[in-house]
Amino acid sequence: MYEFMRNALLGSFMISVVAGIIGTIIVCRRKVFVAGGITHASFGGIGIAYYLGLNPIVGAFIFAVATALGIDVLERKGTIRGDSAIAMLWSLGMAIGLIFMFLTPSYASNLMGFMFGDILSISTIDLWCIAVVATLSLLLSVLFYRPLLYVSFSPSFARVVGLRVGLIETIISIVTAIGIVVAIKAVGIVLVLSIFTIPQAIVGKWKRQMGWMMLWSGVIAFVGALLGLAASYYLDWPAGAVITAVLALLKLLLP
Amino acid sequence: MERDDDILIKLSDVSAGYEGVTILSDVNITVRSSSFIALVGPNGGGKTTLVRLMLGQIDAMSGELFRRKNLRIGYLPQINDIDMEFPITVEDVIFSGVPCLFRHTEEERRRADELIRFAGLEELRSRQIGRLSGGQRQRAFLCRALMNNPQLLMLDEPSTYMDRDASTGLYALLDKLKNEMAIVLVSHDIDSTSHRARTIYRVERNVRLVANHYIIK
Repeated sequence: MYEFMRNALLGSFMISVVAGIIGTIIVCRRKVFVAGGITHASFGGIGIAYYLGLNPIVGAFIFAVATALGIDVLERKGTIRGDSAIAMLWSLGMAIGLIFMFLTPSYASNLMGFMFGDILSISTIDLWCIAVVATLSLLLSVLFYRPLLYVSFSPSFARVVGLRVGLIETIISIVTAIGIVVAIKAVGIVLVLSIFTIPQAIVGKWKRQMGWMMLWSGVIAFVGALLGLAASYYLDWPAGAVITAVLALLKLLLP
Repeated sequence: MERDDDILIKLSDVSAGYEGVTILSDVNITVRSSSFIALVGPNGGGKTTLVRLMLGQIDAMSGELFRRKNLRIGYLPQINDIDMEFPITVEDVIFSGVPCLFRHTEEERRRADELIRFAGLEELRSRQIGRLSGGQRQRAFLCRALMNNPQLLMLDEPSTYMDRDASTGLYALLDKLKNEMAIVLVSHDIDSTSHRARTIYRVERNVRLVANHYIIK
């Protein structure tokens, strides 16, 4: 098998693990809009990293985590409405990214890759990043499933019971942010939310436990990714777009 | 004679509110280990603020608030604070009544089993929480509140959206509990609670004693 295809398959599998776990947490906690903000704001980091000649994923990590924590802080302080805070950081990140991309010669070709993803060009370094994040999210969600479940279900009650809700929510925010960033490589900023939310919408109807929702969402995300890869390889269609379309179609076809 | 060693919570001239706006002022109320208190009064009168004070979720702006050291409180929040679509089973909702880092202990499992039997939820323990009737759901949340073996049980509007039969079921369970722990019950509706509680307070900016059926044995 070609190396790029093997990398793409391995990458898709590990991203599906991340999307299953972290997407379920996002959906269950009703933080989809927050995830959208984190995703788009990370473009600011990509732009700056490109301008400075650094690995763009590093810039994306920094911006994503800063945005996730920034949204938490702004929401807690209550000086700005939560959804307005998200919208502001969402577009500010995009604006910063655009300015720095514009200042960098030959930006246009890279822009498309980050906007819409390019799973066939996934590198060994990217794979290692994804592997670390996939292992981390798997370990955390299995080991600490109970506090994760209780804080996600009802943070106010978890606080009454004595769980350290602030700390747990901060850890969730950070892991969510880095999980989103590693998936951007495959499906791009514009489409990444699809693999973090549509599988959950598909299995949500018949899963009554968060753990099973994580597992089966991951499986469905992987099915979508495989079909997307095949279409991208044989038809030369953009993989990210096919993955999103396949997942949405599955949602419509399944009861 | 009233003794002091059975006091769980005591508020003396307490004022409370949010962001400088006073919602409650000059509140004097004592919760003892044998109390069964109903808090009634209009919406916006400060019932929930009083509950949050007792729970320790907010601090008093002035006055003195005593809470017994290591007091275990079981809490049943208002139903609209809960996401009914969340993928969680009845059993796991009940387990969430005690903090947990990795796994629940044998003792906690036994406690959950015992409570599930007490509330008659044996058949429903693996159901998703949203697929219960209003009465079954409140019984599940009552079990969650009882998981930590509380000395004080606080219920915030437990019979909202429940039909008559369902709330009768819930109150029957409370009747079994009232001799084992102190109970503080918030209700907008004075009729269904008045004949159960031993003491009734009206909460409207301050707290006024309405009735006291306290019987000293």
